[in-house]
Amino acid sequence: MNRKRWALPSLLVGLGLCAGCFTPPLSGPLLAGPAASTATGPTRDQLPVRPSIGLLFERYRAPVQTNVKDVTLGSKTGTAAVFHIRDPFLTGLPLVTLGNQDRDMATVAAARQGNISQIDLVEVERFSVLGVYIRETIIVHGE
Amino acid sequence: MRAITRYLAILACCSVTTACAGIYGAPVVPPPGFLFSRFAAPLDIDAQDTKPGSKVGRSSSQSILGLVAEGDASISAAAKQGGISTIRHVDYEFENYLGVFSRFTIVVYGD
Repeated sequence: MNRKRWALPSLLVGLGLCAGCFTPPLSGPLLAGPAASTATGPTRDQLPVRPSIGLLFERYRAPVQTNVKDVTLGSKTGTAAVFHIRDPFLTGLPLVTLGNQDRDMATVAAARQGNISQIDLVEVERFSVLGVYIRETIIVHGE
Repeated sequence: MRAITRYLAILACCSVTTACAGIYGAPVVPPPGFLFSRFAAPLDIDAQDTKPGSKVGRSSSQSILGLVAEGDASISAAAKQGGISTIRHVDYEFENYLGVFSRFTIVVYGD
């Protein structure tokens, strides 16, 4: 009885989390601008480089820009973070989002935070627990 | 406790059958192998007039069962590891074993 009671919820949670990672980005012609980043919530789908996923737990850094020819890393670093509380089961959409949702704006905010006038390199740090709480931090290197 | 174990087992089955550990994204993605992959590909696709430097730096992140992902696959970490101050080119390496374990490595070339 106990086994039956837990089987279905466990299966739904597992499939829900798996489905969450396959949710396609709602961007481009469907949604544009800030609405796009809000709808996709965790902006992983929009990143050019996405290391292997972790459904239960993620903590990694990855590049945002891939054109890095002759880039000299500056001595200063600035950060700007976005927080999401996401519904991974039914809609896959973020319920709560706090911070700079537009990545370009977040880059500028990070540069300001680090007192950087010339940006050399932009990276992102992603921290996610169960795909429900997600923190994405833009890291800017420059002078 | 048994419920948590069962939940984790189902989650692991789901992630193995969908090969979650093998899911990643990059500008250039060679055809992946469902059971086994190990390859390198360019991350910086603008290679015109590029002079590869004399130094190489690496940094990587790992994923287990597609459930837990951890690491520092950033260009700045790779440059720091290789003692590189000026970056010339960036590639990446990807390894995937049965969708159970995968490693994503950034490779930075420079001086």
